[in-house]
Formats: sequence, structure tokens, C-alpha cells
Amino acid sequence: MAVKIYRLTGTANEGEATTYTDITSINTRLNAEDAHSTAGETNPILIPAEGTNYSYKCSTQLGWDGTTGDGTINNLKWYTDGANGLGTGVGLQVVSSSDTYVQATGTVGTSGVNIDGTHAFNYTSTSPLSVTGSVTDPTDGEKFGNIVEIQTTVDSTASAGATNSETITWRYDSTIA
Amino acid sequence: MNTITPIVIYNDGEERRLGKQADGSTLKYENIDRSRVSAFCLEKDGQVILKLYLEEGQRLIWRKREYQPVGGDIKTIHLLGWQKKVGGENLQAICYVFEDGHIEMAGRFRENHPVFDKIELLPSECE
Repeated sequence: MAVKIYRLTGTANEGEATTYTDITSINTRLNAEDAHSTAGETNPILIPAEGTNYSYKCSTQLGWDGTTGDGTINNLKWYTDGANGLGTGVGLQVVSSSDTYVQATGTVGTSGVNIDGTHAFNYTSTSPLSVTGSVTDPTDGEKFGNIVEIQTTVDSTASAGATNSETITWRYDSTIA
Repeated sequence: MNTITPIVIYNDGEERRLGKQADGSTLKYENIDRSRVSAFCLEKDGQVILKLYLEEGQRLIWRKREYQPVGGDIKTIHLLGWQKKVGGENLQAICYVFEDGHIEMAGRFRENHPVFDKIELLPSECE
């Protein structure tokens, strides 16, 4: 039993199944499509002639995997290493305001819709993003805490090709023995 | 690090491991009888690595603080200590048990410190 990190894709319609991909031990790529991949090249973000294009937003959330945990998980934090290593003209923004999932939208292969977030690299281990939510006695598959949405920004000075990777860290406190 | 087991010791000498009990029941940290707690220890591979004795008025605090990078290995720090209200001020003394076995001790929580950051108190920890 353990806490997992999930990427949410697909429909958010009531009665239909959202796809939860466990990304705890892998990477996930932010492209101009609503899909998880570790190295997808089908729908990259189009470098704009001017202005800014965006990846589709990447919605992530914590969840519990395994037999019911006897205790509480709270004090959720989210942060980066504080240094943008994505390359010239490429940034990352973040929003966490709700535990309700909303599917990413945009123009496939070109740009996602701007989430108008905060510069993600402002959030570090000494200045983390506080994520609202907690869970007590989590059951198998139960998701908890607000959804954290991240989105790559790309301006005209960016270079073609895959960027370097960046590491996102979640921190939380638990009383599950 | 998951091999660390928290154990509560009551003032009549009874020792109870947190989690699943032999009879199938569960002892949660939230449900320990705080009026009877005299000590709390962390055991790793059958050996006590930290034992905390509580004095009157000191309220037990224990947490697992976990750091999970996406695509990386989880790190766990156990927090064990106490807090006490003195003259309207909350004082704390917390030990931080790291995965490599070393232990650091600090006083009051330090907001946004990567290790010594404050916890969110549970109802059972409040006066």
C-alpha cells in the first residue's frame, strides 16, 4: 500500500471514465494533446511565429493504492527544483484550485488553452505550493487532494525537439503505520 | 524505511504496535489512548532506534513525512517528539529520523523548511 501520483486524461463527463495513469515511477510528456506518453512525438507543441503556445494542461493528483490505510494523509506540498532547465523560450506554469477534474482542451498538434497559472519554478522545497486536501483511512484507488495542473509554455525563441526533463516532487505527512 | 514500526508504550507497561494487531484489529495513531501514553518508540528490523519518554503536559507527535518525486524514489523521514503549551505559546521538540539512520533534533517547527516544516495537527493532537 502506498501513495501514488496519477495523471488524469480523457473525459470528465459524469458517468464516463477518466483515465488515471500512475506516473509515480515514470515520466510524462506534455504535448499538444490530451494524452499521457513518456516520449510521444505525434503532437508536439507548435513553436509560434510570435506570442506563446501551450501544451495541453497536465492534471495530476495523489491517490491511494492497496489495502485500506489506517490513518491520515495531509499537509500536501508540491514543488520543483527552482531552476528552469527546459531551455530557451520554454516555461512551465501551474494551477491548483480545485479537486474537480476538467479535461484539457486546445488545438491538437498546435496549442492547448492557456491555464494562466503561476511560474512553476517559483515553488521549491523551501517555498512549496500548498495543495488543499487530505484523506483519512484511504481505500484502494481513492484519489485525494486538489488537482495540480501544469502546462508548458513555448514562445517563438524556442528550439524544435524534446526539451530537457524536469522533476516535480510531492510531499505529504502520513500517520499510516 | 518502511520497516520502521511505531510502538506506543502505556503507563502500565503495555506495548502496542501501530497498525494491524494479531487479533485482526487495527490500532491507529489517531486512536491511541493519550491519557495513558508514557513513551513512544520507533523500531527498525526489531531494534529500537528512538524512544521518546513523555512528561506531563507533553503531547505526542509522530508523522511519516514522505517525499515522492515523479519518476524517482520516495524518501521518508519519521518525525517523533512532543509539543506543549507554555504561557500561551506552543513549544515543540521533534526528532527527525532519516533513512540512512541518522537523527536530527530541532525545536519549534520552521515554516516552509524542507525538513522541519510544520505539521497539520490532527484533532486527537489538540488540547
